[in-house]
Amino acid sequence: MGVNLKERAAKVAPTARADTARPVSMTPPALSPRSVRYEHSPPFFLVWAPLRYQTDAAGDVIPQLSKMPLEPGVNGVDKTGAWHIAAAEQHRLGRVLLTEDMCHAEDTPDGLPGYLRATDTATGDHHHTAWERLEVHAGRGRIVERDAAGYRAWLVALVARGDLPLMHPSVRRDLIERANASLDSASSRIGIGAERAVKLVTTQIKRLEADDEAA
Amino acid sequence: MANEILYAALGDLRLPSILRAEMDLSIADRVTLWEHPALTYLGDIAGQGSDVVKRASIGLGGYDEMAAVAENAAIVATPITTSAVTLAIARQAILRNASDLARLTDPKTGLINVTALAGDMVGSAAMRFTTMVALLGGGFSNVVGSTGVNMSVDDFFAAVLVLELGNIPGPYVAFLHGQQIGDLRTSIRAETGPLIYVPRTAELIERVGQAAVGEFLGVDILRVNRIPTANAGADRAGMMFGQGAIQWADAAVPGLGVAGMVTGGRVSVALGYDVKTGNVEVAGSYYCGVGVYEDAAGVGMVTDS
Repeated sequence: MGVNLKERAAKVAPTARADTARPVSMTPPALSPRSVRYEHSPPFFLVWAPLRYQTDAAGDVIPQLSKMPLEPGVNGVDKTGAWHIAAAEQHRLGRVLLTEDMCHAEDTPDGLPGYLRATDTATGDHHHTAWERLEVHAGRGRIVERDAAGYRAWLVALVARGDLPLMHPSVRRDLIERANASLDSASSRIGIGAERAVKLVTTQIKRLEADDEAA
Repeated sequence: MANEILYAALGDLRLPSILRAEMDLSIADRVTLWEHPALTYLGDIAGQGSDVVKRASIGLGGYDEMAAVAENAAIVATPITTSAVTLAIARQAILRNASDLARLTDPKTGLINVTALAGDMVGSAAMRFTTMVALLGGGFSNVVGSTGVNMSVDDFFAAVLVLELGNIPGPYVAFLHGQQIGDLRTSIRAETGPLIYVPRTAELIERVGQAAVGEFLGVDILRVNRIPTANAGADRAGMMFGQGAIQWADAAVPGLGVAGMVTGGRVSVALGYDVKTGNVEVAGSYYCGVGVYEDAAGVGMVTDS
């Protein structure tokens, strides 16, 4: 007995259409960060250590900050969260503790004063800077959106306002020396990333030397 | 055909799913740094009168050298150099709260029982300790690397040099984020000179633990994915350090010797039962503190994340 293909198609067609129906949108839905286990990140002070500068990819020299975590049991922060011992140690080392009032509303992408933000996640509050925004998209895991230009602008503003000291000329010369050593090293490499490394360091050196001459 | 015995029709006799007896642990960073030889353990400070321990150093044993003195000249006294860093310990804790129903439905091989939950406290304490050590990543004054730029062999060389110039005794160890290690490996691939990256060996694992991923320039490399971010999330703040850079202390809780407090010791576990809700509570506590002791003995390695 032959199969009536037309009849069979009619029977299965509604189901087939439903199964193969194209979705309205292919964009993965955004989820709440509360559904994701972010790494633990306590509140913190941003700290600048003397002579601690860095060269960015364009060759600009900007202050480099580190974090002083306000976590009981870490670096002298006591059981109540009191951080005076930790702060005293930072001062002993000649470092500058950046307080929240050193970051103005116009410095941040969300227009709020202060540099510390917290996002509610599955593992508790994840603390980060105002220039980071945590997002979660189905299928792609977590994403951190960064406003690198905004953060860099704030670093420059810190120096302009006098919250951080002007860079000593020797710092730039040290960075030029280090970049030249990197260029020598990068030039001798072959293969993966070698060409890009040479290009990057060359750009940095050109900019550093130009700034050094201008200064 | 009709009246076939189909699985689809056996709803009363079959289960929606069976629970496999063996249970996997959820994926997580489970690197433990307890007892790591590169970290200076100040000991158990319980029973000594304070929750803060102060470690001092004194400039003797050749710290100040003699100077040439002319005949008949009086010499000037050289002051003693001292410094001290304090470390405060604090309670780290976790609480599990399981209902009677959750426990009584637990199969023989299940892990929702008091024994398993109490045993998990040790793992939770170990991971907490690792996180606390990792938080020190950005805390050194010396730093190598450029923001937004992948870690390279140059950064590694520079970090070793900083420690050597600072007279820091080795062997050195590097705690790096997985991304930094991957970038370093890529950089090594492009090198033409006789550089050798030694992948982890049984001997290395025995010496520095399961976190060991390899050795480069004589520096043991540990992968610690709890390493914090830096530069507004653009980078990771790994670190390389020698002896004396990082110190830690803990304090063992005295056991109560009565029902409820199961154990004393480094990680203490206590049990409780809420008669109103029918929930059993398992609480673990660990009192510890970690900190940078000798700032010059470590180098921050801040590179692209």
